[in-house]
Amino acid sequence: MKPIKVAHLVKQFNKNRVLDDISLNIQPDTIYGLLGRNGAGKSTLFNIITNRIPMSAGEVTIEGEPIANNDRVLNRIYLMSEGNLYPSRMRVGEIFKLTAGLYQGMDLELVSNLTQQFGLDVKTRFNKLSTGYRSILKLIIALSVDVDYVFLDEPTLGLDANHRELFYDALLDSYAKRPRTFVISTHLIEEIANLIEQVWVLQNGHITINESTEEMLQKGYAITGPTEDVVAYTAGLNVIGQDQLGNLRVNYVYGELVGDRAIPDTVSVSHIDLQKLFVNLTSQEVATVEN
Amino acid sequence: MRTKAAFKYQFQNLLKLLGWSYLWAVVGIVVLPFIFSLILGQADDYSLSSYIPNGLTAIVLTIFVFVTGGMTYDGFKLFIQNGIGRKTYFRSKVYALALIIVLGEAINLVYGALYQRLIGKSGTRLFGLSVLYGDYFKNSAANLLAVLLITLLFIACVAVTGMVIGTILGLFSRRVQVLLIVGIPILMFILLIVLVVLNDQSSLKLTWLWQFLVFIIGVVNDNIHSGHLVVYAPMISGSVYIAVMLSIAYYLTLKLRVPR
Repeated sequence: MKPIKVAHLVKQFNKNRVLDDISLNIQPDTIYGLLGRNGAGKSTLFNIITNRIPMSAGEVTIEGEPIANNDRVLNRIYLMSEGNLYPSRMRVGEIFKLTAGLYQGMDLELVSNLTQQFGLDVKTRFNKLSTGYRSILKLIIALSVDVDYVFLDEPTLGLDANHRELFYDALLDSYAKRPRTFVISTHLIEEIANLIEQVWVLQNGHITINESTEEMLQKGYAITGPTEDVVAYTAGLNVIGQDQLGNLRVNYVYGELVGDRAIPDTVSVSHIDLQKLFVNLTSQEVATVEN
Repeated sequence: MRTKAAFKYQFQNLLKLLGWSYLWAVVGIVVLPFIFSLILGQADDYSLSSYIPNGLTAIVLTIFVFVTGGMTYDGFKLFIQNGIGRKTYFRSKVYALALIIVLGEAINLVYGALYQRLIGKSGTRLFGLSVLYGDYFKNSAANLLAVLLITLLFIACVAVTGMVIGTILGLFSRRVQVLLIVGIPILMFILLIVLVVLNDQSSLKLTWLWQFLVFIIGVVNDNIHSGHLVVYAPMISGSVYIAVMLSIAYYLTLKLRVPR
């Protein structure tokens, strides 16, 4: 199995350039997290990769073959999106059967197990399902269908905490049994932080960060202490955000700290979690304007 | 290629819908009038032959292929969700519709034969188009075959017209679709009025358009004798029309997107 190559991808809606010169290699058997704020273009990127909408410029290929109307490669990809593309009057069981017929294969035993675990009634019509159960239906398909690349766009939309937990467990279990690529786009970053191996941050039409989760977390620091000391210590570093409470200040830094600069006794240095890192990285512009 | 799987789904779906369409047609045309006559106490006056039309299945099939040919977007979005591209979707739909047309026409034949035997009055023809083309050849089998072929082509023309309209609508949002569905018939009506007025003033019958229209249905040298119209004309014009409309529908299908 070869990677999906996205090269110099541009997507423009009228005068609004949503994606600008995006280049990515989506490697086999890897779990990715695609992070971005609302309207960043995450769904658009997914829709282009799965040939649902055309790109304005660039190329998306698998094994050197363009994806456009190419069944051989499209049949190796599944996109679970917010849009409801299944016939509204079709019953859940019929949707499973149909998917098994149109894709090259489906683990019907897994479908049966997950359907039971999630409490999804296979006799219910699609239009009678709640938002959460529609997500569950699509998630069951996403985990059971025999494809090499699974794109999950807001997979936990409408799911309660128990069902989200169940889904994350099922995803890891499925990945362990049959490794394949998952690309997950979600705003619940904390919940997927332990799942994803590689992080992409999509901002202003560009992929601003493309690193392993571990590398990224290693580069994120919270420098806490009296304002004067913190400002002095972080001078010249890549400060991506800050919090202030009285004279106590936290500067968030992304990147290497200066090795030979002594840390004052009044200042503490700690790593920050993925969500905090993401929030600060993607609020930089706002912070600059406010300052 | 997933054409076989896509075709199987489309064909089964269409077959099921066709069955329902026949059922509803029978309910609407035969059962409901009978119930009304029962309610009104006129059951004795009810006669099956006066309610059931000769071309019932043909009418149902023609409307059916137009409507299902036009149902483009729902099928497209289901297929793209299942990793099947636009080309395969288009191909499988054409194959499924073609098979439905052949099957529907076979049902028409059986229905027509039964109607002739059980209900029909003397002189009732098996095909409606026999009135125009049924006596072109001296051999009755050749005439039957020619009319059968023309009927198939006619229904296919209706189907591809539906496909083009459906695909055009599939490119637009619901709001624009409503505007088009309401606006275009109004424009057509105005155009019709203009044509009627023109016909009064300058005699449309003398224009090239009229000559062309009658030529493509098989009127040559003003020969409009019933049953003797040239059978080759609608065969050729029908085939050309189908090819052109399929090309347009194919081109537009490649432009479909989700979300719109």
